[in-house]
Amino acid sequence: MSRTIAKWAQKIGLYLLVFLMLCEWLIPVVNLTSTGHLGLFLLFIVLCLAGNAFNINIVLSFVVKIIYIAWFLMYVYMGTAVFSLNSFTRIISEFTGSIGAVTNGDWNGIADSFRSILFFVLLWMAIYLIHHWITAKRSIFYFFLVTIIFLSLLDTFTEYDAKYAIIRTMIEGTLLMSGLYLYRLLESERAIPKKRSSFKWLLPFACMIAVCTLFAYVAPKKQAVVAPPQPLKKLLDMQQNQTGEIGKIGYVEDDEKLGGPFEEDHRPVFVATAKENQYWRIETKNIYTGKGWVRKKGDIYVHTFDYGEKIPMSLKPGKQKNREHAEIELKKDYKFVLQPYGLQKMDEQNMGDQFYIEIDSEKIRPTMDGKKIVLPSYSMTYSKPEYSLKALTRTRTSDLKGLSKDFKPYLQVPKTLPARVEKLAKTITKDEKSLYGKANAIVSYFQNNGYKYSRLEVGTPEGKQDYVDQFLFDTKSGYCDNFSTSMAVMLRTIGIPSRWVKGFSEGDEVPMSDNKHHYVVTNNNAHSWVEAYFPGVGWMSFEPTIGFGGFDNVLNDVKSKEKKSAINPKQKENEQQKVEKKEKEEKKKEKKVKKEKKKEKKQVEKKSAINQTNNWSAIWLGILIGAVAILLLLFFTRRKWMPKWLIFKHRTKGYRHLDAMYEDLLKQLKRAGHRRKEGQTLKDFAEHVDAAYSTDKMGILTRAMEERLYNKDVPGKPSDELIECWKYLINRTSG
Amino acid sequence: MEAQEKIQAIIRNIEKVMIGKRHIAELSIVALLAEGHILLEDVPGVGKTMMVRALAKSVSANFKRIQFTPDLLPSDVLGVSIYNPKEMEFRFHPGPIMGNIVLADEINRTSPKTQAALLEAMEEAAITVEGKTIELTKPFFVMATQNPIEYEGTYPLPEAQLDRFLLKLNMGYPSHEDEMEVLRRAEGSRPIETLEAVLSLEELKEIQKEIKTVHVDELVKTYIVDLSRATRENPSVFLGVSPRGSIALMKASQAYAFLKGRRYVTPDDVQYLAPYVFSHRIILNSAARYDEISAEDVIGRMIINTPVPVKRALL
Repeated sequence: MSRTIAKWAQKIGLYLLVFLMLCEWLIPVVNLTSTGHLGLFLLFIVLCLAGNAFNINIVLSFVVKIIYIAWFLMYVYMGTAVFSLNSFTRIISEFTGSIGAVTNGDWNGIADSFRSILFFVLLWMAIYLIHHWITAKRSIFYFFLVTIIFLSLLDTFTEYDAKYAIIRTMIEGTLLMSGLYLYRLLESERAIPKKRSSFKWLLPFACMIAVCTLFAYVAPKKQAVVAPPQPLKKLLDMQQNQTGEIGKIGYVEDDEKLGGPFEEDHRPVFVATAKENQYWRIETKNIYTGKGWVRKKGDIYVHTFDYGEKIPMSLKPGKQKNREHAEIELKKDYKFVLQPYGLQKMDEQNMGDQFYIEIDSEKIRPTMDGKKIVLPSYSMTYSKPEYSLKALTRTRTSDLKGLSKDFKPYLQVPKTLPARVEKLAKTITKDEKSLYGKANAIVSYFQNNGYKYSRLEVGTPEGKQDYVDQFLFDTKSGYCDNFSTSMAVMLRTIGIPSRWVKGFSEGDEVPMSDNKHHYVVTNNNAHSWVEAYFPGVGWMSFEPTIGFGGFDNVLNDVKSKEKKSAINPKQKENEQQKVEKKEKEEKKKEKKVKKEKKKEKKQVEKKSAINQTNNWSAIWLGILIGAVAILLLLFFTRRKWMPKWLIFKHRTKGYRHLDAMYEDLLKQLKRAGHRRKEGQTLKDFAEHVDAAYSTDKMGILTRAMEERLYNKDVPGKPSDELIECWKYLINRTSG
Repeated sequence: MEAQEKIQAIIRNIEKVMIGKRHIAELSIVALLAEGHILLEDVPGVGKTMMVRALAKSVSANFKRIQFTPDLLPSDVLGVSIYNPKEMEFRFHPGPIMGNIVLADEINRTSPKTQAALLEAMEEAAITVEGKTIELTKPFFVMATQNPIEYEGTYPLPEAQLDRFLLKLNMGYPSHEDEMEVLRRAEGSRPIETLEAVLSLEELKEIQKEIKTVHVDELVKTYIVDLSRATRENPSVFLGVSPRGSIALMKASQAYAFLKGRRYVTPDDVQYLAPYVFSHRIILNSAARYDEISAEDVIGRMIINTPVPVKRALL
C-alpha cells in the first residue's frame, strides 16, 4: 500500500515541477503581451497535466478541456451569459472569420478569441510533449535547456527581469532531471526500489542542488565585459530615430546625440598621398544643443566653384611658397571632399565636375549636373597655415569686443548649459593673458586633471544632463567628441568664438614603390577637434583630445625657449613622447649586437608601416587558431563521428566492397582501442572483438572476409546479413 | 560434406581409446591425409600404440608395428629373401614396413643404418631389396616414436632425416581428470576391439587426392614463405627451415583446412600447424640452448612477429 502511495507521490512531484517550469514560461508571456488572465491559463495547464498524470480517459479529458476552453472564451471575451446560445454562435462566427483572415494573410483581422484558442492548443500540445518526455523518454533535458534559453533571451532583450526565474528554473530543472535519471536507472537495471529508497536517493541530489544554488547565488559575479545590449524596445526606438548610440566608429553626418561606446573598425576609408601626415577636415558644426551638435536650420548657402578656382575658406592658407599637393583615393563612397588644412584649390581633372562649398559648415561637395556625386580620386593644392607665436601671444580678451555679428553663431551655448562649465572655464584660463594661452590652458587642463581617453567607457547624457557637463564633472572619460565638444563649449563661455570640426586624424603610412608618402586612413581615424577664432590671427585649429598629435602650426618667432615650451602644451606632450621613444629605441639598440644594428633599424621602420596590416593578420591568426581548434576537436572526437561518416560513405557506394568496409571497420576498431597485432590472424582478432562487445557479429563478418581473402573467386559484394553485422559493429565502436 | 563427417567419425573413434588428446588425433589425421609421417617424441605408456591402432582400424588399414632395438637390422624392417628348397629359389619375405600404417617404436634406439632404411622407405614410398625396387602399399603412414634425446643409449636422428617427418608431436601425460577416466575405462572391456571401420582405403586415397586441390591463396603462400624465412633469419636459430619445410607446412595446412570443412587455407591453419611442422626442422644455436629456449618458443615468437597478410594490396 505504502509503495503505491510513494509511487503516486513521486509522480505528483514530477508533474508539480513541470507545472512550475511551465509557469516560468507563462508568466513572462502574459506579462509582456496583452494577454491577461494568467490564473485561467495556469488552471488549464493544471487540467492538462492532471489528465496526463492520472491517465484519465482520453475522451473524457478531451471533452473537459474543450469545455474549459469554450467556457474561457465566453467568460473572457463575450461578456454575455456564460454558455448561452448567443455567445456560442459568436465564438463560432469569430472562429470562422479568423480562419478566413489567416488564409487571406490579414493578420489584423484575427479575433482575440481565436488567438486564445491557438494559445490553448499550443499549451495543450506542449504539455503532451512534456508528458511524453517524462513517461516515455524519461528525459527532460531539452525542455529544461529551452526554458533557460528562453528566459535568458527575455532577460537580455526585454524588460522582463528573469533574474530569479532563471534560478528557480535551474533548481526545478535539475531536480526534474535527477528524478528522471533515477527512473531511468531503475528501469534499465530492472530494480525494484525499496521502501523510501527514492527519498534516500533524491536526498543527496537535493542537497547538491541546494549547495550549488546557494554557492552560485552568494559567489561574486563578474560584470558583463561587453556592455549589455539594450532591451529590444529601445533598440527598435533607436532604429526609428536613426541615432547611432552604439555602433562602429566612423564618419557619420548626424551628431545630434553624442555619447555611448564605440567598437573599433579597421576598414580603410581612403588613401592620402601628401608630403606629410596630417588631419583631414570634412566639415564644422556650430550649434551645440546640450546633447550634440547640429547645423543651423533653414536654407543652406553655398558657393559654387570649378577646378582650379580659389576656394573661399574661412581658415586662411599659409604662404604661397609652401604650396603642396595632396591626392585622395577614396575607398568608401563619400560625397564630399577631404580637406587638408590650408586648402586653396582643386587640381584640374574632369571638366564635367563642379564643386560647391556649404558656407556654414565649409563642407565641399563635388557635383555633376547639379547632383552630389562621389569623386573616387582627386588632387588638391594646399599650403599649410602657420601662425606667428608673436601674434598669438599678443591676442587679448579686449580684442573680442570688436567682433562682428557674423561671429555670433560661434559663441552660442544652450541655455540649459550648467553654470559650472563656465565657472570651470574661467578658473582654468584666468592666469593666461593671451587668448591663445587661454585656449592652450584648456588643452592642458584635460592632460593634467585625470581625464581618460576611452572608446568604451563613455557615458550618454540622459534626461536633462548636459553632454559637456557630464564629461567634465562626472565621467571624465571619453573619446574625441567629448574632448573637442567640451573645449569648444568652454571657449565659447569665455567669449572666444569656436567651432567643432569633424574629419579624420593622421593615418598610417604604407610603403609603396614610388617615392611619395602614402597614408591609409581607416574608420578608426574618424576624429573631431576644435577651431577657435582669435581677432587679428584668424581661425586656428586645436587638438584637445589626449593621445593625439595635434597641429604643428605655430611659427616660433619668439626668442626665449622657455616661453615657447610653456605656451604649446601639445608640443610639450609630443616632445615628451618623442624623448620616450628615443630612449626606448636606444635601450633596444644597446641590447642588440652591433652587426645587427642596421637590420634592426630597418625592421623597426617596417614595423610601423605594417602596423595596420597587423590588425588583419590578427584576424587571420584568429581564424587560423579557430580552424586548428575545430580540426583538433574533430580529430579527438573522431571515434564518435567517424562511424556515421563511414556508414554514410559506404551507403552511398551501395555497400559494394566488403574489403573496403572491413578495412574501415578495422581502423575504426583500432580507434576504439581494439588494435589488431601484426601477427594476429583476423579470426583471432574477431574472437577478441566479439568477446569485447559480447556479440558474434565480428566472427560472422570475419569468416566472410577470410573467404574473400584466402579462397578463390569470392565476390566482393557482401550479403545483407554481413552489411547488418558491419553496421552494428561500426556503431558499437562509437561507444 | 561427407568426407568431413567421416573424418570426424575417425576422430571420435580415436577419442574412444585415447582420452583428452583430441588435437593429437586431429594432427595424426592431418598427417595421414597429407601423405606425411609423424614423429612422436614421448615417454612410453601414454597410449601411442592404442591411438595408431584405432586410426588404422578406422580406415580399415593394415597395421604393423616395429619395435626398434639396438640390434635390429635393416632386413628386419624391410624384409628378407630366404631360400626355399622346395621351389629351389630365393623368396622375398616382406618385413613389417609393408603395412599401411606402421608404428615405429623408439626409433632412436636403433642403429643409424636401420633408421636410414626406414626413413628411406618413408621418403621414397618404396624399398630396394637386393637390387629390386618394391613399391610400398598405399596409403603408407608411419608414426615413429622416439625417447627424449637426453635418455641414455640413443642414436639421435640426423637433421636431414628428421625432415622426412611432416609433423612432430608431443603427447605428454594426461591431466588428472583424463587419467581418472583412463582408469575407469580400463576396468571394462577394451574399446579398441569394438571400433568399426569408417573409411575404406580407396576412400582414403580419394580424400588424399582431393586435399591437394584445397586452395592455397597467394596471400597464404606469402605468409608461409615469410614464416620459413623468419626461421632462417632468427638470431637464436643455427639452421632454419628448408623449402621442404615450407612445402610440408603448406600440405599440412591444406589437410587441416579440409579437416575443418574448408576448401581454402587461412593463416590460422598455418599458425596452428607451424610449431608442429617446424619445431623438428630447426636447430637452435648453442647460445639459445644455453638460455634454455626451445624451438617452440622461437616459433611462437616468430608467429607473433610475422605480419599476417590481410589485404590483397600487399601482393
